[in-house]
Amino acid sequence: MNTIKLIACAALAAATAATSAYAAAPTAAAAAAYKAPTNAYGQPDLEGTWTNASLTTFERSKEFGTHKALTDAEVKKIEGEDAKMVAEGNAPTDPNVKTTDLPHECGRGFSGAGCGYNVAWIDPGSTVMRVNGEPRSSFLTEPADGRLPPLKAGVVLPAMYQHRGENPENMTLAERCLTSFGYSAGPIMLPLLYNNNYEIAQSKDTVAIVVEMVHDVRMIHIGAKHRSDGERPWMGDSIGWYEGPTLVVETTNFPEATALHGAWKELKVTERFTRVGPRRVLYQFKAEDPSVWDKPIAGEYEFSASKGRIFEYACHEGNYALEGILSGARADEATAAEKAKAAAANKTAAAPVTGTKKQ
Amino acid sequence: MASEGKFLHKSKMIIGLAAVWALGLAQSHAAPAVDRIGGHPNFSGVWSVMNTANWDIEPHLARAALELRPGPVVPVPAKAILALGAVGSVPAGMGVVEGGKIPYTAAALAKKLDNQKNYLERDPEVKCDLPGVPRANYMPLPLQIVQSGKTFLMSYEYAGAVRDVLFKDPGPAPIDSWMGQSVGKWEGDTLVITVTGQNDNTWFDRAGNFHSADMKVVERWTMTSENTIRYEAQITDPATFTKPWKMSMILYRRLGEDARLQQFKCVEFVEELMYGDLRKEPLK
Amino acid sequence: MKLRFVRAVGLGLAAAFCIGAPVLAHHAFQAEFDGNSPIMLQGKVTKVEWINPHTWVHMDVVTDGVSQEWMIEAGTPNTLLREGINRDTLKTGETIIVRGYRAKDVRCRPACKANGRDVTFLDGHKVFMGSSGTGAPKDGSDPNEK
Repeated sequence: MNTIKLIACAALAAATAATSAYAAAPTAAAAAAYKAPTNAYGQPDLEGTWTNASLTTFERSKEFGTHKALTDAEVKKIEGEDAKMVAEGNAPTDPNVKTTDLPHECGRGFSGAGCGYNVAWIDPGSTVMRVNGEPRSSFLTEPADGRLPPLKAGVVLPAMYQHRGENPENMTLAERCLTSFGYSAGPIMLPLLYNNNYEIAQSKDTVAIVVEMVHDVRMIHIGAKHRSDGERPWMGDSIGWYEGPTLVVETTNFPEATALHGAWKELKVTERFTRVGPRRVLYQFKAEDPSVWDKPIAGEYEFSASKGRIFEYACHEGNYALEGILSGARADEATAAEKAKAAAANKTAAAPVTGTKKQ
Repeated sequence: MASEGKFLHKSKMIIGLAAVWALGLAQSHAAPAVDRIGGHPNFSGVWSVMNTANWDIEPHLARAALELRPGPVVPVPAKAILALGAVGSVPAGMGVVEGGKIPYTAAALAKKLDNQKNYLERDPEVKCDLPGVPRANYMPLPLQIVQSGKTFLMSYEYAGAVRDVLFKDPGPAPIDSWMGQSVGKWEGDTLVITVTGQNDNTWFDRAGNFHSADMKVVERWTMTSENTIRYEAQITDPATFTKPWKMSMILYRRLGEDARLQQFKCVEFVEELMYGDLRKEPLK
Repeated sequence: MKLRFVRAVGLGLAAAFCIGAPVLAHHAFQAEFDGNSPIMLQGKVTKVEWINPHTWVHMDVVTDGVSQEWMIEAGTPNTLLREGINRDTLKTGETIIVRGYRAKDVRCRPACKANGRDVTFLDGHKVFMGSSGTGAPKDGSDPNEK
């Protein structure tokens, strides 16, 4: 309880806005309007399939400053542009279109095969995130500018994914089908470009969260203590308890491989799940690692009921892509070697006969 | 006195055992007293078999290795397994197939034997592929059931396989998958799960026993005591078997410090095997 | 507003939505496929592998009477399943047109490979369509929902 109070106090102190992102309970209005159901164990019933797909991002775009709420006009623009893009992507292609008509540049320095997506490949949601009906400019609300704080002096991000293509171990965890891109499983659980679906199942002593991407299952041990053996399992070590209508989950013992913006060693993530509507679950999160950040970071969003069930994401079994990436790198090296050889041959051929040759 | 005491003690034990036996008889006709949730037996917990079905679902004696090659006198372990010595051998088992033998068609039996000859190359478990049903249930690693009044989720330690039992039939699976589509219904205190939509990439065990993508599995999960489940699976696959057949076994509840599902993300353990030749500098 | 939100970023390969470890989005097209080798193929579907992380469409492309098998990488089946696609959506024998980028590895083992950015039927209609949204209207924008 003390921890929770501390967290709540820290959150309140850090927030400049009227409501804290990591409040101890959902807003009074929401709580009054809706009574969360309980399950056969008498626990708050969080079961179902849920999605956090959203056009709102984790961090806030700088232009919104400390405005965590979007205006109606901003919402209209964002959702309208997205709808337009989907409609254009789904429109029939003129059979006469040539390969030269494929996009060459698609922003942010990506070009060529980097433009290999069209809308059929992704499914990031079509609306901005609403929390208690309020459209949001970011999930992160503390710091107040909705952006990750600078790392503490002296903190060095682990050098990951260097020498890409040289070995399977140099590839991202997702490319290797070990876990999702980014933080789908978390914690903090955050959406990706597609398959942002989760299923929650509850028994007396366990809450299981099935994460569709790379079929991860988070096992939260209700009423248990954190492991003290120093081992750091995938997705950390999660324990939980119920506070009124809220499931509180505390996770520590994170592995370095899934560091959250450099934080893992002393990282503690606290999540609060509260049913705020028949088809809505409020998700509040707080992450603290005093070795990396001066203050905790916190934020919130709402899961909505997912369309349909979780489908199997058997990734490794059909991962032609990893083989393709590695053999692509070998092909690149072979091409480079041939070019170098040809260049050397040309140089030799072009060299004047009388030229001196160093031995 | 001492011997009389002993005798009394013994006779009490016998009476006690008889009572347990009688209770057992009574229980075979009535539902055992188990924890219930939502009107059904509560299967929640961590479970595993204590058999060797994952090595070979048919009755078998111990043998030297999962893949053998001809030796001067008797077959010997294949070269690639040899270094494992006794660790690479196969433990014996009574088998879980009702009647002992799987009723393969002649062509399918030939394929099974060929699978055995090429075991290392072909067993999907070697590559850390998802295990499929029923194999997932009798792998040496446990499974956890998370059951509420409305949900029945099965989470497997091996490769993070997971099954969500659907209690409303959505119709045929839209595409095939490794773990298939599980549709459940309660028949009294037995949970009957029909599994369809599995692809043909999974096996039954490490002995080359296989199936086609048309396989239908009807599982029956029955709690026979607080800590035991009788698991049955009826296999129907006319492309592979001459008639439907059944397997049956017991799953035991893991208790105390053993009742914690661990993670076995074996994908990274097989990268050298699967992609080693594609390294910039392959190991020698 | 362009490129500020997820989908826009996604179409440009995604590096913006990451906190911490680089989100080298997706299965790294630039590593697997050659941006300098755009390709257009027309042929008959011989097999569809509805698998993750990517659907692979096998097709037979006949050039000057010589037939060559191609494997075309498409998106994850899961989002398509949610849109109602199933094993019968793209049938064996159907003729399709693929526009995309050829794999860097041109050895064609066991088949030639390419990315299928744009997979259409002969009349130009898309085989795979983008989602019109996972949540809507249950996304909290409907005040009656609460």
